[in-house]
Order: sequence, then C-alpha cells, then structure tokens
Amino acid sequence: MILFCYRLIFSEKASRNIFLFLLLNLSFAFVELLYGVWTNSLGLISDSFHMFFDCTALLAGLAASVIARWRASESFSYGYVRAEVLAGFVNGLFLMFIGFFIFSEAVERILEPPDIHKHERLFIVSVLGFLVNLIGIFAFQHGHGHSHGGGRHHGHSHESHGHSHESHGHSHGGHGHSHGGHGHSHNSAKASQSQIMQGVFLHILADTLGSVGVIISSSLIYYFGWIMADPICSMFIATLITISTIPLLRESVGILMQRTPRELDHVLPGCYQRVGQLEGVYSVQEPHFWTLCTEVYIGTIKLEVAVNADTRYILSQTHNIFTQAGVRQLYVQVDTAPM
Amino acid sequence: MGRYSGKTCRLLTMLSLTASFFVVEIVVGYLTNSIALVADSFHMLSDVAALIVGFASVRISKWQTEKNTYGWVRAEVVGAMANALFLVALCFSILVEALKRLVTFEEVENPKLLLIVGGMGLLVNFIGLALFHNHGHSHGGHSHGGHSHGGHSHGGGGATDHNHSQGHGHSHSHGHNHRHGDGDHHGNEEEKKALVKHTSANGVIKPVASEISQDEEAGDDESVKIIINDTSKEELNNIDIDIDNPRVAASAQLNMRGVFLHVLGDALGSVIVVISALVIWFAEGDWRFYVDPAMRVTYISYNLSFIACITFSSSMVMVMIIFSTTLPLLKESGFILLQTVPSHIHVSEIKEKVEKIDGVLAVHELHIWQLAGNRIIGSAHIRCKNLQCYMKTAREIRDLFHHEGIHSTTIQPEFTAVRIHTL
Repeated sequence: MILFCYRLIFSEKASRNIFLFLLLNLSFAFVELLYGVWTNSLGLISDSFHMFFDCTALLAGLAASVIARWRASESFSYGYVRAEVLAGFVNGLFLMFIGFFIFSEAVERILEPPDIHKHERLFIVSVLGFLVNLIGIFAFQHGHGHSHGGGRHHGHSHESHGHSHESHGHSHGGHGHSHGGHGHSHNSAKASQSQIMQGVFLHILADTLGSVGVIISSSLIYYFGWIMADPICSMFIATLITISTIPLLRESVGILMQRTPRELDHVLPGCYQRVGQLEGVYSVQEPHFWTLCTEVYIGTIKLEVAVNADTRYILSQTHNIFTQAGVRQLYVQVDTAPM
Repeated sequence: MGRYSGKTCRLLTMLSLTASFFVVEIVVGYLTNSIALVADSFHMLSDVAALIVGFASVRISKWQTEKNTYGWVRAEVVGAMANALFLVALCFSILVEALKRLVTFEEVENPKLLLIVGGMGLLVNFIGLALFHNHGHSHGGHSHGGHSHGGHSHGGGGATDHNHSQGHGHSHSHGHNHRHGDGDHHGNEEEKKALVKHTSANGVIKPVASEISQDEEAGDDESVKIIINDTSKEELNNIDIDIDNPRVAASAQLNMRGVFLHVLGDALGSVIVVISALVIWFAEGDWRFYVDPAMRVTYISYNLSFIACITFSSSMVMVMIIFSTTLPLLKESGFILLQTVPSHIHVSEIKEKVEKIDGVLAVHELHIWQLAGNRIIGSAHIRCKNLQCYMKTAREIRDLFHHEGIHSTTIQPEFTAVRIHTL
C-alpha cells in the first residue's frame, strides 16, 4: 500500500514537487520549533506552528493529487477527481483562517508588545524562511494561474509532456483537449492539478508575505524604533492573504455548487440555439451543465422532438455541437412531443 | 421575502447574541489589558463567522439564478463543510494556545472579572446549544427536504406541531407535481397525510398543503396533486414535499449540525475559561493566607504547574471531543461534494434491474449522485432498438429510479446502428 502510494507520488512531477517541498517545510518547521523551545521564544514557537499548519495544507494538496488519480469504483462513478476541487477549497479556507489568525495575533500584540530582543531572532529565522519560500515559488510558479479560460501555464508546458494518461483509471476526457480551436494541448493530468497547485502556490505566497512582513517590520523597528510597525504590518499582510484567496475560493465554490462552467458561459446559449434549429427538434429543456473538475464538463439536456424525427441524427449532431464547445460527457434525453 | 422561519430566526438571535458578546469581551479585555479575554473574544468572533456561514448557506440555498441550473441547494453542504473545516482549524489553534501557555505562564491579573465574563460567555453558549440541539445528531428516521422554504417539514403523522391551522379556504393548484414511487416503504396513507408547514412572519405555523392525493385520472403518469391552502403563486415554486425518508441525511441538517458543533466547541472553551479562572482565584485566595515566604514560593509554583496542567489537559480533552464529533460531518459533506453515490443506493443492483427490463439491450455510463438532501440525480445511456422501444422503456426506467429515490433522471438512448462516443 505504501509502496503503491510512493509510486503514485513520484510518477508525476506535480505531486513529486509538492512532496519534496512538504519535506523541506516540515524540517524547517521542526528546526524552528526546537530552536524556539530551546531559547524559550514564544514568537518562534508560534511561527513554527504556523509552518506546521502550512504543512497540513501541503499535505492536503498532496493527498488530493494522489487521490484524484485513483480508479473509479462503484461508489465513485466519476472517480475521485473532485478531490482536486475539494483540496483547492480546503486550502482556500485554511488560508482565510490563517489570515484571520494573523490578524487576531496582531491585535493581541498591540495590547502587549513582545520583547524586542526576541524579535531579532525572529528576524533571522524569517529571512531563512523567506529563502525557503522563494524556492517554493519558483518551483510552483506554473500553478499561479488566475484561471482565465486558457490563459495559463504558458512557459512550463514542457514539464508535463512526460505525463500521459496511463495513470488515469477513469474515463474522463483526456484525449487531446482542444479549447474550441486553441493550439494548446493541455495535458489533462496537469490541467486537473491546477486547483491544487493554485492552493499550494497561494499558501507559499502567504508564507513569503509573512516573512517579508516580519523583515520589514523588524527593520522599521530597528531603524525608526517604531514598535507599532509590527502589528500593523501583520494586519496588512493578513488582509493581503485574505484578498488573494478570494479568486480560488470563488472558483472552487462555484464548481462545488454545480454552477454552469464559467468558461462555457458565452458558448452555451449559442449551442442551445443550434440544437433547437435541428430538424425535428421542438424545444430544448432542462439544460444542466456543470464542472466535474478542471476542464471536465458534464451536461444533461432534454430535447422535445417530433414523432417522426430522425433521432439518431439529432443525437449525434447534438453531441457534436457540444463537443465543439468542450463538453465531452453529455446525456441527451429525447421525448416525443404529443402531437 | 421577509419570512423568517424557525431556523433563520434561531440563527439570527444566536448571531446577534454572540456578536454583542464579542464586542463586550474585546472591550473589557482591552480595558483590563487581559490577553486571555481578548483571545476568547476572537473565539467568539470565529463563532460569529460560523453562524454567518450557516445563515448564509440557508439563505443562499433558496436563491434562483440562471447560472446555477440546479439552484443553490449545494450551499448548505458547502456551508457544512466550511464549518467543519473551521472547527478543525479551531482545534489546531486551541492546541497551539494550550502549548504556548504551558511554555510560558501568563499573568492573570483579574481572575474575578475573567470568571464573570467567562461565565456569561458560557451562558450565551448554553442558549445556543439549547437553540440548536435538535440538529446535533443526524436523525435516523427523519429527514428534511432539500428546499424547505422556511420551516421544518415533518413528514407522516406523529409530528405534534401540526395543531395550528388557520381557517383558509382550500384552493386546488397543481403547483407541484411530485412522483412518489416508494410504495413499499411508506404506504399511500402517509403520503396523503404529509403536511408542509410554513411559518409566517409573525411566527404562526400554518399548514400549507393539507392533502396530497393521487390523481386517478392521470393514468400511467403517477403524478400527485397537492392541495395548497391559500398560498401565493411564488411560494408554490419553492415548496418541496417532505417525505419520511429515513435513509438520506438532509443537507439542511448537515449545515445545522456544523453550526451546532461549533457552538458546542465554543461552550467547551468557555467551560475551560471558567475552570481556569476558578482555579486561579481559589489558588490566589488561599495563597494570601500563607505567611512563610518559602512556603509561599513553593505553593505558588505548585499552583502554577497545577493550573497549567489542568488547563492543558482540559484543552486536550476539548480538542479530542471537538475533533471526534467533527469528523463524521466532514466525511459526510465531503462525500456529497465528491459526487459519491449515496450510501443507500446500490448501483450494481440498479444496473441489473435496468438491464432486466424488456427492450434494454445495454446500460452504459450509469451515474448517480446526490445534489443535496433528498435530491438525487441520475443519468445513463440505454441502448435500444428504436425510438418507440426507447420511449416505452424510458418510462419504466424512470419509474425504477423513482422507486429508489432518484427523482431527476436523464436517460439517453443509443440506437444499435450508431454508437456515440462521449469520451
């Protein structure tokens, strides 16, 4: 079992990266914790716990990227691909919590300013943490996709050519996606990781911002003796983190709520029209389109047709129309209209 | 839409109570310079946030928009999951705080004040528990429909609050046609007696649909006519009939459970605050009677570590409790969000039954998933010989699905000559 997971993790670059970074973060957090306990510095201890929390988020992302590739089973007829969306959601939520937590800590610090000497130690550790996080940012840069349609992952497509669909046990459209004519050949394995990657990237970004905040406030205190800088910086960072999480949360919540895919918003009405114009079709009813996971769309639709209509033609044409729009799994129900 | 049901009413009262208490706590904490109070006030704030999430999901699930073709019903499941995750994060932060307090001793300046404020917080939490305790456990034999416009709907007889009735005239309207297929679980008797309650603005509960009868004239189509008492047209669209379905945990309950667990966690937190305040107060009180400095010092240190032990262990116990109660909620909402087949449905059995139907050559791509609460959605490809054959079998298949509780089905025909690749 463990060997199986091990193989799954390392077979794909994305999960491998997450795993390695997780190890890095974890060891750094442990070192920080030990150092903090040894020097009895509260700031270091709490910062190390913050890093541990980050590690759990990374772990969630890793688990999701592994789980999402499990084979479909009887209970999971669509497979486990939704795990990726859930991971994005969980990461987004945890980031909000962290923002909230930092904010509350900053407020507490206004009441009781901490010892400045211990702050120096925190400064050194923050610089180190900043460097570690920079590595993370470079490693996961392709995950920084504010997912607008197809406009992402430009420079790093070379990384994913190695992935093929062999690890996919489930049958969701992975054969050469073409976004209605784009030249991108997004590998679906990589595309399906984007939510997770986004979450992980945001997490690392938040961590980096935190370190930057400590560096800035420490230098402000050192040069200007302005003690208030510390909590104010923290509050600012907390708001930044919260704001940066909002796009990820909106997207994952939309998917989880079975919302019509944003990418299809503008093409769907045209599709309905075209289907309605097919010979024999009286009306298009109850369209439901939703996202299973990134770039996998599923739809159900009911057509009212004349009794003597060529159903086969209608069915195949409807499928074509929607396949062009990007919906690969479509269920078309046909009802004959009473004459 | 100014109608407040029992659920939203409770949420609102609890919300306002907690919010005001948060303000009180943070002001007092700031004035007396007590970190413990400020920390506890942020706990209250997180409670407020959880309540807001719960409230928002209840309201959002009733929206209708174009983009969400299924409606926003999933909001309650998402809200439940958010609350569960919130609780997990809360556990974590409590753990961190407890460990921090173990390492460094925090000077508690005014234990009496802490005790008073903690006690008040506990009171507020008890009120919350009383308000929400109905939803604390997943009801085995009871479920609420996915949309219930406002109040709780209790299916079948036996609910005691159907006594209110108002003398409105009957107006027959086919506002809602529901197919009831599960004859073997509940006799038709119970279906007829199902009442849909509706709480109006002034808190009076009035039965909205007093009778559900089967329409004989409809023939094959087992549609059910609902006689609605004097309700306006728009309400009809939002009323769902609640049928006693012991098998499905409703989403509304899921959401409320999340809120309840959060309030429980906060109550436990207040308990800890009160306990530690008591211990400190008692310890300090006793200490004053000791004259000998050496004894005083040792007594203090003994008390300090004693206090630390108590607060730490109680925090651990609290974390355990919260975590173990949150885990099932997390799992349940997580499974729904993962598009899992609901646990009471056996896909292979259904597939076999469908294949046995006359005229069905093959079944592909059978997907059954739970939208929220009672709304289960299914889709499949059926291979048949021709269109007429398909129309006949489609009816039977739909009935089969209704029997199982799957009410929204989309069945695509596949005719033998043409094979449509959907992958």
